[in-house]
Amino acid sequence: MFGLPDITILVVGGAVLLIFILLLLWALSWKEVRA
Amino acid sequence: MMAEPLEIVLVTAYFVAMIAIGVWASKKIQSMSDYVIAGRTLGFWVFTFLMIGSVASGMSLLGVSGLGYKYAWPTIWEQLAVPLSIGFCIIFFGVKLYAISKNSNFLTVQDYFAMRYESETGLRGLSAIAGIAVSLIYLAGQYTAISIVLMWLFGIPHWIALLLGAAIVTAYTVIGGLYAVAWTTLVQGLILIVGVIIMAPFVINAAGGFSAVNEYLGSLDPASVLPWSSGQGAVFTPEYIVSFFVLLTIGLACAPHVINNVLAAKDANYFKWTPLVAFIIYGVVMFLLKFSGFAGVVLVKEGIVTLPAVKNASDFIFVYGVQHAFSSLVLWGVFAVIVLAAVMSTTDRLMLTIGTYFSWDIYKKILRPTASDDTVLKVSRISVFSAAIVTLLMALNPPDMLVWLIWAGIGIMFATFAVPLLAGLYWRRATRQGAIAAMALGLGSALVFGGISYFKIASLPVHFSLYGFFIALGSMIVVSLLTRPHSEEVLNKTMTGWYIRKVE
Repeated sequence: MFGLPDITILVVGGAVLLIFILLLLWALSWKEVRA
Repeated sequence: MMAEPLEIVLVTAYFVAMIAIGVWASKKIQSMSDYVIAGRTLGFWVFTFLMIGSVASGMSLLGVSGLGYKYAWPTIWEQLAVPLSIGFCIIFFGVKLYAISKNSNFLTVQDYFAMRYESETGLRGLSAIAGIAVSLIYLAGQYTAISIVLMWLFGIPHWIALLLGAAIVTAYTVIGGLYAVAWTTLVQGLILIVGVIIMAPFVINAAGGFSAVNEYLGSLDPASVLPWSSGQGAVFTPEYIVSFFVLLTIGLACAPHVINNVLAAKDANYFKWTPLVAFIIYGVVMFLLKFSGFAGVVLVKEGIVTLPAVKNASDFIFVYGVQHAFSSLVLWGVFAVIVLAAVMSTTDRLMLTIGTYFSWDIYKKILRPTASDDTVLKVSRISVFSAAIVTLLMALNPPDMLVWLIWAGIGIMFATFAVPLLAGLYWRRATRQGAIAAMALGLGSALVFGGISYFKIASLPVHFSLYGFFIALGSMIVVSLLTRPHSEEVLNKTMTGWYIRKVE
């Protein structure tokens, strides 16, 4: 795919997805503080 | 190339707009708090863009595509680590520092160090001097980037280009402080994002499209499309990539010009979404730039584009790629503004950091504690101006590759500040003596190992700053355990402990 070996797609794509999920979990677990 | 009138008009309009924001911002400056942390009034998007703009630098447009052009896919990790550094900074440093600073009215990270480690002069002074030194190195890299663009656009000598770029940034930073820096960064950030999203696909298409570029790279060297390199002489080996990733993520997160931004947000709840939003926005920009660097390989190898005969030629690849992809002069002018915007968004923040660290931490807190707010504000403005002069002298002779200079700056920041910050916030046993040892030895050893790497005295398997980091970590642990811990009262007041936040 995209002229790239599978390992590149898997490793780079996996890393992007992992970071995205971790940051999303951070946001979803945030409890609002009073300003 | 020589500039056409239309390009000159566009670049001049951009410069005038920046100065106008500076003049508008200067009216809001009543105190040091306004100048340094914009009176803690930055809204969500201004804050988010300030974080992006502080890490988006000359490296973003020129160095990133330059490195992609030179080493291809194994350098892709930079595209994840840099956008992630914003989240790391907010989550691991920002949440706590913001909460403590609201109660204690901090202006700088040194205020935190002084309180947490009960070192009003020693650690504060050391940290401020180290912060100024690394910011100067980093700033020299940024000025080199500004001059690359202006040289290309106007066909003027390096030193005139440097002087012109520096004059504009210095002017609005001196008069408008963080208000000016933050609002210009919002404008610069939007220009950068929209510009790259529009222009990079044209550069990639000019080389045959994304898949064709990758196939071309693979046919030249199959290893260049792998996520890491290996074998004799390989630079981006897995162990090097790990150190590089840690360096960029944590090093940028604790860089003085980035971490100080977290004190300027209006509301702690911004820390909820800024990490993800900044990662997505800046991630897209970074990937597009790197892919343009890959496309540059096709354009150069096929003889479509010829890079200039200068020692940092690879840093010109995106500039020349765009020049090839667009025949319209209007677009070249717009492009020049985009590059200037990216570079200036970091440059102004660095200069303000240097000015603040000198005027607040060294002048006000150590040399002249009785100085009035007005005097400190004046000293701050003079320091920003002096920082510009010193850096210009450093940038007159640019290094082979811009990105290496900037990395050296981040590496030294990483080795110097990461351990005292992380240990201070999360380890109750960390002491003043441990922090001073960690900071001094981290800085010293990073300089030594940086020298070994730069002068090729020995080949290091990982990035030089990692040695500095581990020496700092070791000295923090050993010295802290040998010295008396701080009182429970101080530790509680500075929210020290193994947690990010406590919600009541």
